[in-house]
Order: sequence, then C-alpha cells, then structure tokens
Amino acid sequence: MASGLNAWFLQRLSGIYIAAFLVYLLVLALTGAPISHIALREWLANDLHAVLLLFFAAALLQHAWIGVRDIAIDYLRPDSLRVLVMTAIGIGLLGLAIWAVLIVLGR
Amino acid sequence: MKSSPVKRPVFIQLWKIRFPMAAVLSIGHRISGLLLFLSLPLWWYVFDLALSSEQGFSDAEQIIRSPVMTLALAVLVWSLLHHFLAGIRYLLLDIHIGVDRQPARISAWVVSLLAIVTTLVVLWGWVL
Repeated sequence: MASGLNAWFLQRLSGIYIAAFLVYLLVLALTGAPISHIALREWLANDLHAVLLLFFAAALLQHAWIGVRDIAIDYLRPDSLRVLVMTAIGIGLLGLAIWAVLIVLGR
Repeated sequence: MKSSPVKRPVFIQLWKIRFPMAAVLSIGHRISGLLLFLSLPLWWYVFDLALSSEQGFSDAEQIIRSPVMTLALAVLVWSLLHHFLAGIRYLLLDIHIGVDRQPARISAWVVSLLAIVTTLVVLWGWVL
C-alpha cells in the first residue's frame, strides 16, 4: 500500500492546478472586463472554461479531503469518531461535487 | 487498529516549547487549510447565486460586502495567501530547493511575513 505516497502526490498535483487556476482568475480579474453577471455567464458559456472550472472544483474537493483527513488522523480519536466525521465530510464533499456539475450544466 | 499502546511520556504544554519558524508556518498552513475547507460551501453558494440572474449577482455582492462577511473575508484572504505561499515553499522543498537549515529558516520567515503583508495590501485595496 502506498497510500501515503499517493496522498503526497495528489496534494502536489491538485495544489499546483489550484494555484495555477487562481493565478489565472487573478489575471482575469485584473485585466479582463469588470466582473458582472453577464461577464460571468459569458466566461462560463465557453466549453473549455466550463471544463477547466470543473477540474478546479474536483481539485479543490480532493485537496480538501486529503487535507482534512490528515488533520483527523492527527487529532481525532477514537477511530470510530474519526471514521464518523470523515464519512460525514466525505458525503458533504461529494454533495459539493454534484452541485458543481449542476451549476455548470445549468449555465 | 492496535490495542492499548505502551505508556510513553507526554508533554503538550505548547506555551513552554520554543518553536522554530518553520513549525509556526506549518501549523499556520494547517489552520489556514482548515479555514479554507470550511469556507467551501460559502463559495459554492455565492457562485451559484451570482450566476443565476442579475438579481442573484447583486445579492451575492451584498453578501460579500456585508460587515460580517468582510471580517470573515479578511481571515480567509490571509488563509488563502498563507496556504498558497507556504504551499509553494513546500513544493520547492520537495524538489530539494531551500532544504538546508539556514535557507529553510529564512524562507519560513519570508513566507510568513509575505502572507501577512499581502493580506494587508489586498484588504486595503478591497476597502478602497
């Protein structure tokens, strides 16, 4: 089992993508059209942007999951409490994933 | 899952331990990460609202600019900047850049201070 190694790798991968996307958003905010409802819709109407945004959501959720899992492992004892909390959080994050898809599909 | 382990000495009086800057940075990275995680549903909601209609967009703006949110935002801006900058320091450490004690100590200070300074700059720009 290389779960520690996998977690380490996934955090780097998702972290880099999140960082790059945030920089992109910053540049967009500073140089693009003023942020408005219309600007938002037009940006998302582009299919490439929609895909990149969903990747961003996935990266965020996965990065958050592993991050919180590490905190839970360090501080939440007994194991049953940790499992309970991580299950609840896992369901919540899955909910956010579904919500993200619904938002993008509804654009 | 092990059975009850051997009793080992425990010392958790944190206020009595002198922490290197890298340790402070590290716990800051963990705390900022946790705060960002807790804020996720808020961002989802605000984005959904802003995208829904012109009225929704203006409602989202109202929420973001409300006094309560402004305070929360200040904390979240620091969280994002600290987590981002400390994260970059970790990525560099992963490829063995800045691993020696002196550079690591210096970079820990630089990142911690940079996070605070950029937070203040952003908040100043936001308020103006």
